[in-house]
Amino acid sequence: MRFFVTILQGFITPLFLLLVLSLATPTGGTSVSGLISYFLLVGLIYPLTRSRVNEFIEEQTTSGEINNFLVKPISFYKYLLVDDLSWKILNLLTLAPFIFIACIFLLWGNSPDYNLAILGISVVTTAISFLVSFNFSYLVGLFSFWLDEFWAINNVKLVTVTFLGGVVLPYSFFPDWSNQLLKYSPFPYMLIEIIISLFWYAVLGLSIKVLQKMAISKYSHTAS
Amino acid sequence: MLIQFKKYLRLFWAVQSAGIAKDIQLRGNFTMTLIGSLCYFYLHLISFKLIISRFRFPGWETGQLWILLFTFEIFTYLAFFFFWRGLQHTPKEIGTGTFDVLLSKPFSSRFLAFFRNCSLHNLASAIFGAIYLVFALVQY
Repeated sequence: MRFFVTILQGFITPLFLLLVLSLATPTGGTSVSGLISYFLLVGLIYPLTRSRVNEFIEEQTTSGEINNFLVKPISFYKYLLVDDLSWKILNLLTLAPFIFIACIFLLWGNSPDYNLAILGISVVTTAISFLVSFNFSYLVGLFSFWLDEFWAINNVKLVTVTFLGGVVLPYSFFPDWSNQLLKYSPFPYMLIEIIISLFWYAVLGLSIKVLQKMAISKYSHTAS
Repeated sequence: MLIQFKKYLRLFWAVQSAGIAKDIQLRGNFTMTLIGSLCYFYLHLISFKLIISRFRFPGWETGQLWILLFTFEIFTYLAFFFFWRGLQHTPKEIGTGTFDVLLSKPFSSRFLAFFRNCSLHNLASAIFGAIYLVFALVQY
């Protein structure tokens, strides 16, 4: 059931959007058929890169369960990274046949110059995207040490990542100036170059180190 | 009938004013919740703006589309304001057994379960929607 939901959830909003847009007349260079392939790929790749580890951190801090990690000689960060990574591998195994079918569907009739190198780069980019996404989620999750109404910052994170990450609408909808700015941000995970992704991964990693130190020095919880 | 209505209206107001007072007391949290609520509001607006800059909907003027969107925002956030906490808390309370407290009160438990102390940030977003709606009506 979980796998079924994993596959379906990424397609519900785009499906409604495409249904509505199929009744509209394009005025720019965007066509509904182009959007179908875009949302198909986003729907299949996004479950592999998104991380919701912030929600888990919030649950752990609110309930005090995080105490179990703080007294043990294991890194909370590494534990969560491995846990999240295992779910992503499971997602990949579930989605692999669908990604394969989608690739055949998208490449049918075209003759692009696809080879193993491009496939390798795509896999590396997806892996780095997941790491950037994980670090960003973890960083947001650390705010639960200070905030009671954590859902609010979670909303901000969701909107920022899905909108600026091109999940809600493709970048072709955005004005040129914003595309230029976004190129240097950590959000367009799937499009930016590997070097910039690694740079953001490092920046977010360092921020986590600083913020986690501050959070844990402030933290106190007594079991009820 | 009218007396009952007045009684429930008074109860509704008492619950809401207590909820609003609580929200305003914790200003930091209220600011955060308002930001959290408004970010979805503006996500809808910006996405909508980007879509109508690329697509035209036959039989609909741009102004009419904006009015439709703002009306949608008002109703959505009002629905959140009135019902969200009730829908969110009631199943949990039934599960944990704390729903008994509500059942023992001398009012309709359905009324109390649904019209909890509503979230002020949702009302604020609905008001934002109404302000934008007035602007859209004036402009188009």
